[in-house]
Amino acid sequence: MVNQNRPESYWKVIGKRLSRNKTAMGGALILLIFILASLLAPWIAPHPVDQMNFDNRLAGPSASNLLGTDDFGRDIFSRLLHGGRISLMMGLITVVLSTVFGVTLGIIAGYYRRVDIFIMQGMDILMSLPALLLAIAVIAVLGPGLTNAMVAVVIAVIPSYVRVVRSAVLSIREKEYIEAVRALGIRDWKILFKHILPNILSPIIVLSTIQFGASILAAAALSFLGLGAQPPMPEWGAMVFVGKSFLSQAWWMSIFPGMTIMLVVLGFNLLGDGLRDALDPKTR
Amino acid sequence: MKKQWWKKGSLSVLLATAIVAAGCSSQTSTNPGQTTEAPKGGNTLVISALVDPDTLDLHKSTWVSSANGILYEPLLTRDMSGKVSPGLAEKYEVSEDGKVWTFTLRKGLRFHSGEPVTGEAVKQSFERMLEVSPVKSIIGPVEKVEATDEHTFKVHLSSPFAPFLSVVMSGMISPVDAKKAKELGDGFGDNPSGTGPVMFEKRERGASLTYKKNPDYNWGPEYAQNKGPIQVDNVMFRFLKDDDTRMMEFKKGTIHILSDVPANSVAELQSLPGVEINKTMDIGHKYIAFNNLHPLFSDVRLRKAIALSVDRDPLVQVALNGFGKPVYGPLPPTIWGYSENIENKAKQMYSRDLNQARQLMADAGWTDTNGDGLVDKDGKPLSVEILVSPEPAFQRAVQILQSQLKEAGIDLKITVQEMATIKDRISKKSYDMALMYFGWYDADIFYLLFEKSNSASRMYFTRPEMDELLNKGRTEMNDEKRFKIYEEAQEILLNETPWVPLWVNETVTATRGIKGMVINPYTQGMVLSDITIDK
Repeated sequence: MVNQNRPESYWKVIGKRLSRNKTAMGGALILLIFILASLLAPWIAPHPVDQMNFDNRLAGPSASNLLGTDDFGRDIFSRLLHGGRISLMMGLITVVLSTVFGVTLGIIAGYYRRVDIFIMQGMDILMSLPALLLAIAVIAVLGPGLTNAMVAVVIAVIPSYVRVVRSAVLSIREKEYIEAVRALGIRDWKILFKHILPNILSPIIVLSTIQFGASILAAAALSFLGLGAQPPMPEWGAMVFVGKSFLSQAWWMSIFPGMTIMLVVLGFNLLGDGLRDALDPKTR
Repeated sequence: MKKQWWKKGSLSVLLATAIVAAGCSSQTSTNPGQTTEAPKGGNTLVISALVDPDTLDLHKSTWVSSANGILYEPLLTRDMSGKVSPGLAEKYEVSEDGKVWTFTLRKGLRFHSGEPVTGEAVKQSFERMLEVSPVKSIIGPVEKVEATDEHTFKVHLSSPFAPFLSVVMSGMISPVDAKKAKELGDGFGDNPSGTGPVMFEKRERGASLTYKKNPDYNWGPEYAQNKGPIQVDNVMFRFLKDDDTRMMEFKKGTIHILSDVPANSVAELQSLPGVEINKTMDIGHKYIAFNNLHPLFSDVRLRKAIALSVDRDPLVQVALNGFGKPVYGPLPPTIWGYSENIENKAKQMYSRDLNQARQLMADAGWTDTNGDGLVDKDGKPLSVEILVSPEPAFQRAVQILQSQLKEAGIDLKITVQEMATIKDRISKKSYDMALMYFGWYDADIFYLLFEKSNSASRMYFTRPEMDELLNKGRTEMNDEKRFKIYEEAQEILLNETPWVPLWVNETVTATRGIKGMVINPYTQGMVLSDITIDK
């Protein structure tokens, strides 16, 4: 009896609201397809990823090579599938890392008012530089490579997390219930992680979803500039870059990886927008 | 608030689409139907080059290219078949002991400032170079220079130095107007004066460099037809780095001579009317440099095994799109000291032979015991790292090398770094292998790569018996004897294979709307004398 009257859980409500949003579901579907395809790449790819075939260089799309072949005669479709593992993994790692660092710094800045100025000044310095330029500068110091590209993206993305988290913490720390637990003498770290963090999850989730796509794009952009993934890695941005010099002979070398990047980023953005609407208390 | 490009979701999608859209637009612009005519606007020859020279002051430049070298003329040069040919000096003599070099200058020569080119002027130029040049260390053991009369000057060396001839021909020490240089000091680079067929007019740093015809230029290289002033009024160098931009400008018709044509664009340019393609072989080759101190590569069997695993033809055909030649021996055909005999021998020894490679590795204890396709020893697979600079052709080449070595059972890891970083790692001995290159006019390059005082710069390979030959080669004045010495040195390199020579590039130059452009492969210089612009 009690169960029936019990209100639905918060996350269930959000889930329901999200599932009614068609564009968000479209985005989720796109992502699902790409994630599955990447996970199953070794089994569904028609050709080994690094197999060269010099007799079949720069061949256009055909039945045996769905999306054509590149300058070494490697199958582009197979490479895209394998590249998905790199790009998605890269997105995941950068988002997790920047969330951890960004949220930690943001909570500290929002809760401990004394260090706020130092953290935020630091973030303002980072934000005053265009993000891509900042990432390029970081790579100039660390040297090109996939790991360094991820570090660069994380550093460039952190300030946006810190800002969002700090402002959320600022509004919540003045609420009466926080004052109450503080009056009870509860320790700071417990207040932060038990009482504040759960209440600022929604902006973090929305930001992370959108950042996921943006990080993939940023990493692809760095690879496109030759600063990220290095050959023969089938990273999407690197594939667009290599294909660039063959555009007049083999448009498929750049177009298909470019479209793949576009679709995945689109998927994350659609899902992120939907989540924002679903998590917004005003659209109840 | 400013927009952050990856914060704004919609903007990011736009960016991704832009990459795709850029693809489409370039696609249409390559349509050969849209070509326009050749460059117009007077009698100005427009040359596109990649790099703006550091300075126009020849003696202070670290890299002489045609963009700054064109102002000056060397004392001697090589003709189109590689033989010594007169430049500013009509003739030269070397004393018996090889220590005194006497040059007799052409009569009636003048610098751009109007100053006559005399023995004294050349002497002063030489002294200035010894004082200021950043590359003076490769010039040789010059003791003193003297002007004996109006048209003669002598260089005294402290010991015989045969490569001096190649130094003289390289253009690095061509005479400059020392009197004017003294007057202007550091300003000489902005207002240079030499003896070349063109005179300085104006310069826009990083963008262009304009020269005007030298009307007093009254001679030409022996191998050019025109023996007078050049046949265009102005010569303009434009510095365009981006391949797409350069190609577009050339197709639009605003450039007469496009240097360093990207290999995969050659076919496209060939299909345009009036375009001529000129191929010139480089004076140096690309090679895999082993760290000969590395525990793996101090064993000649492993070095040979890797050399035998490499198939050079796909490297040239795929990585260079056919614009190059495979090199098996220590020198490419464009460098003095190249021996056909050695090259044939090298081809026999090091043409791809996977069975022999596996046998050599097995002798050294490396066999595939676990059946994973990679050879191993003490449970560790054979895995080596190769350093490579970001140049696209190099990146393609190492990927092919990776798959070729894999077939032999060797795992090759690719690390891309800037050349400066690679050289730094080499100097710290923290490398396995590197894809490197060299360029020089003489077999004396071996001295710079392998002699014990220099070997740390590349491969840490040195042998006393080879040092002896390389030092002897520097002092032997008789061309034939000297050649024999270098043949012997090359034999050692063949047997020890401290490196794997891979290929020599062919630089592609495209011309349009002009006639008579020739590039001398031995000097790598463009011959301006016979160029005429189509009316």
